[in-house]
Amino acid sequence: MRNLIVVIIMLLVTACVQQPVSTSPGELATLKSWASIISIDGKTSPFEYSAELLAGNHKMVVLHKTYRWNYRCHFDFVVQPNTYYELISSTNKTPLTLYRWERTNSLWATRYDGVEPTSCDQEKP
Amino acid sequence: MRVSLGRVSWLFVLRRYVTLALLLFSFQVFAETPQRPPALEDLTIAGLRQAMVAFVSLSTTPGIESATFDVDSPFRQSELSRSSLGFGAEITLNNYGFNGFWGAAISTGNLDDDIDFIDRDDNIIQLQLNRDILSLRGSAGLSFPITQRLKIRPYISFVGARLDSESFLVEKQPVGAPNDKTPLESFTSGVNTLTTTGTLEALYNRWYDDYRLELSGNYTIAYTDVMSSTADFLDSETWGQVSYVRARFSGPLTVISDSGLWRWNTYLNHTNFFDLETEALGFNSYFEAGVGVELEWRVKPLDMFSLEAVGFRVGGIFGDDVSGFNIGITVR
Repeated sequence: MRNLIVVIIMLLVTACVQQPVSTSPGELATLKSWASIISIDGKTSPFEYSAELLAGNHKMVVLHKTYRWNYRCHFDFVVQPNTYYELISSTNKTPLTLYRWERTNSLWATRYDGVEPTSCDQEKP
Repeated sequence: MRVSLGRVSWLFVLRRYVTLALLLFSFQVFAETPQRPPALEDLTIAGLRQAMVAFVSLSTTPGIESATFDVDSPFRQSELSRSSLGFGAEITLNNYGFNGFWGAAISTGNLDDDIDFIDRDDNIIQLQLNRDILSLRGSAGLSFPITQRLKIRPYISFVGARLDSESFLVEKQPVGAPNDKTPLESFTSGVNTLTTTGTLEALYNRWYDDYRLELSGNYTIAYTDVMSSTADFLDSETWGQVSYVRARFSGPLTVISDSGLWRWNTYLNHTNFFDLETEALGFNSYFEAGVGVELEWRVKPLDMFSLEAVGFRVGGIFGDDVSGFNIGITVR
């Protein structure tokens, strides 16, 4: 147990969670996706796994691939400027969830305001 | 996307689950007990090696969580504890149908083992053994999503451990008598072990309205190399196999805090150390059943891996001649 405490203290001392820096701070929000982004606001995404978005409402289509089925999930969400978002595979009811990422301290970041897809269409790979 | 199943159906699943736990527990009542301790001649170097590797295996195998075990058979009393701090995370491999998986853990363990033997003059000789282990594990592999609910995860692990042992052979004293006799034999050793494991893990996750069923199975094959600079006879290489199956059922609590949603859960686990002689640790399989509560807490420590919930659980461990508990904090 003493050794575990030493390791935890070392992690606390050396940890350095950093806030991602947007290429246009103050205007755009950054999105990083665990799954392939098919389109944003009807436009085919050239970004695939990341995007920078203007503040406001957005509609996004994402493809979650598995060996048996693919899941085409539709998101409808509001973006705040100069904010970082993560679309991750989760163990929630739906296969993907969009979270707002926020640096809490040097040891960890917290995910807030989970947005689940409005629908997911199951299709053959 | 929402999957719905009637209230009657999940109650049926829960009832079957509880019935199985009670049935398994009832098997303990009928365990047979030997009448006489094993002969001292049965205490061999090979047996000591196997007991040592068995302890390493129990303390370091991926997937086995913190727990305290009590072995209470007529001629053996031992207490074994293990605690660990570890994590696993998936790495997105863009444009591939699978993801990477990696993990690491630090574990500590302690064993106090008292085993009775009988010598040629029918005296009862007790082997008093104390072991301490500290290990570091690194794992890497792949994660294959079969469906949104089922995932298959093969990975390899390397576990380095330092194991310190001290043992005494003493003439057993009557209950209540002072234990002040000089040990007949004493032995102290320190060994380093390197274990290479291959693991195949299956994870299943399904929601029934707000209730969630999680099933997982894990099979690990391990090769342990024991290296000692002070006691050559402990040097050995050993193969071992471990598997576990787990079932967990959870539902929402009406309590909601500012931080998130609270959920209750109940679980049943079975762990089996294949081809491990019972004499090595006093048991080679066990069940664990318990209940817990968790608070959703979605954080990303070191911005590297995901946590979903923290909580508290209380579990009981039972098996042939082994009992124990698992009380503590859960982090998932």
